Amino acid sequence: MKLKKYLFLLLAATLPLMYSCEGGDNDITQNPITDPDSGYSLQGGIKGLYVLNQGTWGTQNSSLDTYNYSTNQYSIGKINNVGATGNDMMIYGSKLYIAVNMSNQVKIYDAHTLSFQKEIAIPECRSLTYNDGKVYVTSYSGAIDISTRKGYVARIDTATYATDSCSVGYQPEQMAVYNNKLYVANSGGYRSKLGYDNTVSIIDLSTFKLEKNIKVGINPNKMLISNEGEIFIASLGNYTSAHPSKIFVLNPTTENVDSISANCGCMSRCGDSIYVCSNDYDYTTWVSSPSYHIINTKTHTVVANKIITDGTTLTYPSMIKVNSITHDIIIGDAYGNVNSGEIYCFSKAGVLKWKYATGVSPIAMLFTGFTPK
Amino acid sequence: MKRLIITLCVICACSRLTAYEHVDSTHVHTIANVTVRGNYLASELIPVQTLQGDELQLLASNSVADAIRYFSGLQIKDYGGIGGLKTVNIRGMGSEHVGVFYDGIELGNAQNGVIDLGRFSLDNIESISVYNGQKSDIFQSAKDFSSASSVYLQTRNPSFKNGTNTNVKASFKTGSFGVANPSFLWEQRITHNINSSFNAEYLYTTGRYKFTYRNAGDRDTTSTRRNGEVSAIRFEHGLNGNLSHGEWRIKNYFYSSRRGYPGAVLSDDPGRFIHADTQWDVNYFLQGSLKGHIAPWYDMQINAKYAYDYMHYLSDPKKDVTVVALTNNHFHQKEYYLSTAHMFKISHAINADISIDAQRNTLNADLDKFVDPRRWTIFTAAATSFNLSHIKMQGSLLYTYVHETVNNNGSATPDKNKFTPTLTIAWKPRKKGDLSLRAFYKQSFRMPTFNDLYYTSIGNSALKPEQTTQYDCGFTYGHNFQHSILYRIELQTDGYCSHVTNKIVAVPADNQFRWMMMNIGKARITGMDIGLSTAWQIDELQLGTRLAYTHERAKDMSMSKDSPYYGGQIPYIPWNNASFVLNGSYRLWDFSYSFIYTGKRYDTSTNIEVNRLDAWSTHDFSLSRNIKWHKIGTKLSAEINNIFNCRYEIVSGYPMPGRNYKIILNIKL
Repeated sequence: MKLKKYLFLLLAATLPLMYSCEGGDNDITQNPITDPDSGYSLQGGIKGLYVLNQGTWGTQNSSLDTYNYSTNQYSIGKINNVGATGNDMMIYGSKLYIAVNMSNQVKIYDAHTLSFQKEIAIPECRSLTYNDGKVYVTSYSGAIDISTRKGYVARIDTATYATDSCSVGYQPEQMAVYNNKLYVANSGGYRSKLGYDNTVSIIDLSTFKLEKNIKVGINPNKMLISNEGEIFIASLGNYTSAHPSKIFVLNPTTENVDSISANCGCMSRCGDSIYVCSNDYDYTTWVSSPSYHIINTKTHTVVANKIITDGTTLTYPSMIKVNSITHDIIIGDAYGNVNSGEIYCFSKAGVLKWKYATGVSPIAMLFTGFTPK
Repeated sequence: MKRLIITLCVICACSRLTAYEHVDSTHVHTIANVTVRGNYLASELIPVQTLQGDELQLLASNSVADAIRYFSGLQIKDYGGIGGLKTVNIRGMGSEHVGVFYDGIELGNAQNGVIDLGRFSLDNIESISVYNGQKSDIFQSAKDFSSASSVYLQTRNPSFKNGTNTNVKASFKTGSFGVANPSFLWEQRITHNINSSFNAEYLYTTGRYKFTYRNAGDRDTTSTRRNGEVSAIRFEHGLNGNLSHGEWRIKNYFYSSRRGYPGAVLSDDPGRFIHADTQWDVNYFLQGSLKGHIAPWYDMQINAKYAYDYMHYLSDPKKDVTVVALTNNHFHQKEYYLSTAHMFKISHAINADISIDAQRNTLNADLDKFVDPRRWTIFTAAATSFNLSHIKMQGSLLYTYVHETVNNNGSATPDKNKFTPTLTIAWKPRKKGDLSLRAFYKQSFRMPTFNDLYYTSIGNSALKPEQTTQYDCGFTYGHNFQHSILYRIELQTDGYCSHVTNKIVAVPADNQFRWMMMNIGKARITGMDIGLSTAWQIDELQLGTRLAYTHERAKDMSMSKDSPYYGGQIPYIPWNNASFVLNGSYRLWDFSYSFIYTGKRYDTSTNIEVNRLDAWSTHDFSLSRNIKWHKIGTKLSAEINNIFNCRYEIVSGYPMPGRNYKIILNIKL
């Protein structure tokens, strides 16, 4: 008995070493951690994974899968009728919010039991973030402009569900919150003939009014905040060699914009590293091929052009997430976007640990601090 | 009522009768009406199914698309409502592989390769036939050899009772969905050898109907289908003539419509965001045929057609808050077609045919930097048939050459050259017996459509044609009973296997917004079709039944073999489907009861629960009464469709109507 007690103490003493991004093995910790990508705290460490599948375009088969880290079980379709094209999700408080793009609704579920609670009509809703009791949603359906509608950010009060809005640029995608300001990536995705949009809108969260727009690369989509408080933006370019995809770095204090030449699509942060996966399209061969990079957020440089080292190939990486405790890298493969996708988990060294089939077209992942149902 | 009238042969026979008949005018005989019951099915080598005459009219159907559901081996993709797009897919090979023929000449759509069968009302249609493979008649245009399967729509041929030179009919239909549907037919005998037929029809429907769907949290929500309004008008004029050794016909066809597209039901707040997309169409064609029996050993036919198709599609942000960018596209298509076929009777058992067709298709559109493609297609077919006492064989070889040019610095797809053979064989163990066995092998292909090749940013001019290879074997059994209330039974069974390669599929290029057409699809389909018909006569009651059943396993082999979903069932193809029709007439009453069952299917090849569509079944009933009012023949009909109010979807997200009604008044002067 005493041996066991000592062993346990020994284990407990080594736990703090495990939640840094440099080391760690396959252990599941009980300690709360803060997810670097979304900023929310996972009270129980990393216990589960939620995967949002877009479903086939034009149908209602968007779904949610779950992965249980203690039983290593992947369950397809834990929520089977999310609606038409779920695009983004987040957990805030005890609720799971899903922006269901073509159903024109943000659907709210209980984060633990996954029971449906409420839906809020937001036409052409795209992405979610939160701050101080409010949920923010980007939408394409703003004021009619000459070429396409402008976009807006809807603000939903989590207590009363009252909504109001603030107009931003064209076809806004992801957002990031820093120092009581909301940064919005305006992709201009419907304006391909007019050069897309190339701005980040800054909204003051006290007044919920647009302060200014800052120019970055064209077609900005995804956003992350680094440890140093800089905003990393994946700008998708115009799919030709004239404007390839690129990462832009916006310093919110100086408003200086830097860029890193790395093809990008999706990003996930772990410590000072951002892991990037991308689909590079070749117009001459009509083939798209994946590429992977690791960026250092301190030096703004590409430190690696490879994540997978054991030769596993994916067809169409659509989402990436790094487990900041075990340093595993999870990548989703949307495959044909019509049939089922796959989810791969690679070790820090880039070797495949497990893979599962998902629903159709996986697009977003989040970690849960509790064991999924 | 299953009374087989050999209408097709009457036209051909007419021309020969005038040449060979010799009437003794000194003695006039009157004979009683004779019912001719022919062994229709057994004379065809290729599996064929037909709906015609009263059996077709009695079916509670709005359009060709509704009627065609009663055939085995095919699936209709119906987007709901009277105005929704309806296309047919035969034996799982894809809708673009089906050739639809109107009075013997193919309807074209080089832009997207499919025909909307919902646009063809049954008002002027005499028969609908579906052939697997090709029509087993070698004396046909080269294009008749080119489709994997064909649907033949035959319009009414004027027939005048003794002493009359004019037929006038009018009808009015109304009922659910706010339908107002008047139509008018005028047939006129102009000379002894020439007659004319004029048909006009107008259709209006609000397209509104209630439907329920399952919302998040498994709540059933009821809503109303809106923006499904249709306003359509059709004019058709045909001239038919008999010559001493042949016949000719000319047809003018004009159709114009405006319809709303309600879009998919995507779990929205009911009624909050109404889709307001609108489409305008104009379809016009002028086609003619000339057939001549030039010599005892030589027959010839010439077919020609000019078609103009216009489409305007509008998706306006001012009308719909979920529309982000304005779409206002106009498309103009033209088709020019000329075909000659020459049949030679080599011996009493051997016939040979050579057919040559030339066709030009053009498409102009106001899409950004659209390349305005122009396509020349030359079809050349050589076919022979052997008719021996127990065995019939047909072999044909089709050679197709396609050449395209484009404008605006686009690149045209390379020329295509293809040889596609067909071989069919039928064997009757006993020459006058009831049983006939048959088998066929056919290769065919379909060209990528103009949309596949050149549509802005999604088109791929390097696309290759899709290829199909079909194998079929089966039998027919038909028996006439004497002195029995059951006077005819027909059974038709076929097993088949088809391969489709280079299937053109949309795949993502670099993100979900940019897709590209690619030849990566592959499918293998095996199945079985069964058809059973019976005909009864019990005193004055005539009954007919028709049962169709299909079992089909259509495997998608496009994805990697490691995928757990490799070989999944292709979207929208059920494993099992069946239909049953019972129709009858008793004195002045006619009735028809029909039932359709479609088994479970999936809306993607990933056959998982979330993609599953439930099985459904509907029951329809119609009742008609013939009334003679002064000298005017009238017929009043009432229909109840989907009697048990089944809530179902054929295409995911497009709910079908529940129970609905129709009242039809027909007047014949």
